[in-house]
Amino acid sequence: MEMVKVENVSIRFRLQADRISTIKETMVALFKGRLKYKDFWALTDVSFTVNKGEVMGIIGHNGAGKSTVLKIISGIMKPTKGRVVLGGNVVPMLELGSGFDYELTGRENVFLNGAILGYSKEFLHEKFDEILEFSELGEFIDQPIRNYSSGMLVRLAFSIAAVVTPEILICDEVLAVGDERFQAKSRKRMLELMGGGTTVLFVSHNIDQIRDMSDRVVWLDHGKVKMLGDPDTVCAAYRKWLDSPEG
Amino acid sequence: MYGNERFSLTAYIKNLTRYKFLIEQLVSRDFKTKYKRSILGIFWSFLNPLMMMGVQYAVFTRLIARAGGIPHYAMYLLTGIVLFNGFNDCCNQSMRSVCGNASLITKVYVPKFIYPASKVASASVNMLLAMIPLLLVALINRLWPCLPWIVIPVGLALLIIFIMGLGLLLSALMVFFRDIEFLWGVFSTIWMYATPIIYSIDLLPESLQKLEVFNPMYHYITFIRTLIIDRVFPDITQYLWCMGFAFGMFALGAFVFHKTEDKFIFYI
Repeated sequence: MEMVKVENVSIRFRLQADRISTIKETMVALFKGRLKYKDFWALTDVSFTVNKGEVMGIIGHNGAGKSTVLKIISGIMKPTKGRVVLGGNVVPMLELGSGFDYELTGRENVFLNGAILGYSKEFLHEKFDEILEFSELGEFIDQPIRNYSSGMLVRLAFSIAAVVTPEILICDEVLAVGDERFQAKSRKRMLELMGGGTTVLFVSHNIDQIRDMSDRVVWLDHGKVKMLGDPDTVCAAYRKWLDSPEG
Repeated sequence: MYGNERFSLTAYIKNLTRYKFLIEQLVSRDFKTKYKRSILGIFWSFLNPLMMMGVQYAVFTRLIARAGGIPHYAMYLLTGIVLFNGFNDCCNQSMRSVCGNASLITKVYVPKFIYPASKVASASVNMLLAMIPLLLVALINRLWPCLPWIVIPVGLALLIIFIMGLGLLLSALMVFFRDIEFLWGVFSTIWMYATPIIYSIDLLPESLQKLEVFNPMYHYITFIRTLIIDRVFPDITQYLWCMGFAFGMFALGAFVFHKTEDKFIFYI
């Protein structure tokens, strides 16, 4: 069963030669007939499907469009052309903790961030102890998070994101959080999710991690699909390309 | 599926119920952080309009008396202050809500109208809290509760719908033109002085009196004053003006917001 279907997706960014953001500047530019854009296609005709329970790794050089693909799948951006069809709910794990409010306590942030990620009130009440335990924050949970260390923040953020069993999970470089022990723990949780039938899309610059964890890998190059297939073949080809003078 | 959905009001309202918990959380966040480090906390919501009224009463009461006077001038002032400040506060906060949440909008998918909507909700709660001292001052002035008061919530609801529309409009425009923030600051001050808050409409020259029908805030403030101070039901025309501005502005704001929201991400 197809859980994520990306069909001929293209996205265009309009770049202005000089950024115009005031009314006066726009008027002046319009008057001079100078409101010209430079088009930049961040993705061109990208198509792939991810089946239920499959783990899809996405690799590519910086600026290849990896994060853009994930943003389109999670609904943050709309494609200029093409469409995305989803077979279930999506939980994005893009940059952890972006919904935190530093004046609030850890406990209050669990509810705020959970609501932003689309969890229900009942679900959060039910899972609160589990989140607290996973985060290892103990009594610090009732402290304002502006007093937290950065390690504590990522632990809390990951614990909130990891408590759900989403149908589709999207991760953008999130597995490198916390100290080594917590990394191992979060990796284990990811593997559990993957084993539990969750469809996963993830981006990482760590090629070994991609090769070990994915079922299939898509390689993006300048906004196009360069290669799509089993992890060993694609990762080997990508490595070779990286070592070549082009990469 | 993400395609181009057609604009529909029912979809907006359905979304609003689905994201009730999120709006609740965002509103409670606003309240918690607003008063977190102040000693009087939530009492500021009561005290602020009362203090404003005190100052303006002290300054203007003689001037107004000389010009013929306004019955229950303290109440007259306070109604205007509570409603106009509530309006101004809602607009300012919702206007900045989209740009201010840029870091979230670029990372998590949440329907974007949630941001202005939650700000309007939290600022409206604040305005409703300010209604409590208003009603207390009414009692002190021996304006006892009466049957027409049951329509007060209708007037407030219409005002909030009007504000919601304006908030959607301003927040969308501000994404594309940051000048809106500064223009609005000047514009809202002009608007305040153009609205009979301190003075009564009879003090204006006749030509300006006619123009007041185009001032939505004049209608909302008059509506509530009619109920609390005159203690009678408003005319049917007053209802119609208030409804017309509320639904007209809401439709305009929702339309502009819907048309532009997909482009926000490229500008914030």
